[in-house]
Amino acid sequence: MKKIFSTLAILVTIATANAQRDKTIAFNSPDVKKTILSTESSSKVDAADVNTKAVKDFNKSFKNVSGEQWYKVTDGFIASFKENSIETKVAYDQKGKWHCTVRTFGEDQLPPDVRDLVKSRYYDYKILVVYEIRHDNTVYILKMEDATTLKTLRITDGEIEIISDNSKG
Amino acid sequence: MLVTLVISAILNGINAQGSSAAFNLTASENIYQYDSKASTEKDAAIISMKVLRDFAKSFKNVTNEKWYKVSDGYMASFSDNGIETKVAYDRKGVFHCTLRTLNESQLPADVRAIVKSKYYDFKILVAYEIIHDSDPVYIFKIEDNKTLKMLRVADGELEVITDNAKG
Repeated sequence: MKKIFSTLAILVTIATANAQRDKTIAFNSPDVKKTILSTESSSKVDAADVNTKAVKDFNKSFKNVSGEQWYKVTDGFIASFKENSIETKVAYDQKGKWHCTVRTFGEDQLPPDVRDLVKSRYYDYKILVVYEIRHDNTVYILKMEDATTLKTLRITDGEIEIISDNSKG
Repeated sequence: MLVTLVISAILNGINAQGSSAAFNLTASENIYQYDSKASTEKDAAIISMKVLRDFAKSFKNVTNEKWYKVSDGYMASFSDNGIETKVAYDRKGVFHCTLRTLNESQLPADVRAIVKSKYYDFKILVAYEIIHDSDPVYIFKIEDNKTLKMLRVADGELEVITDNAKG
């Protein structure tokens, strides 16, 4: 993945992400693997001020979406909207080229095969939030907890990787 | 034999919440409570001495167990660390099986993992641990919103015995 969004992204650790879970998006890339992409520090802009290629691509890819909010970030643009109650962010570079789509949802909206992969191993854990990151492939970042532990998992191609594993309290 | 009776009785009792034939003690004849200190020789004589000896050897720390005469032999019933336990002997006083009734928190972790890793959305209602002459066999009753299942776990293998829709 290109570096452009590594500067766009606010670099924080996954541990920091726990405190920001509702406002931030886990961002996956070899460069910014454990980072959060946030629109909080970005400025809202009108669609007219966004690279036309980005807007065109967005309208083509998300035909049924209206009322999206555009943000100007250091390295490009982000469109933010809710689709079927799923918070969705679509990132474009400065040239208007699609970069990635990040969707934030709960356990009930997780694809069954991904949920099965997690729950069959972590059956005593509650899934708190899921970030689905689409770039070249689809990556899922899951935050979950049991009575004593908070874990963050990364799931790609049917493989689970533990990103963080912290005791509570 | 008793073990067969136990298992089939549990299976048949899925909708009757444990009213199994072999272990339905209220239906048993001649209920005795034998206590090694308080009970009389007459009490002891009713239960085969071989049975009492075997029981005392196998369950050293148990006292105040209740004895039951059942059609095919004898049964001792007691609570062991909060786990309802029944021990069955045949008419000749030969040990047949031990049945322990467990809730989810009392299950061995490896056995629970076998069930929960596949049925993670189900609630374990009750588990029966049956020890006969080999490794324990576990019978589970589990449910989710729509289904009631009965599972058998033995030698690390899981088998669905019954699978019924609710309602």
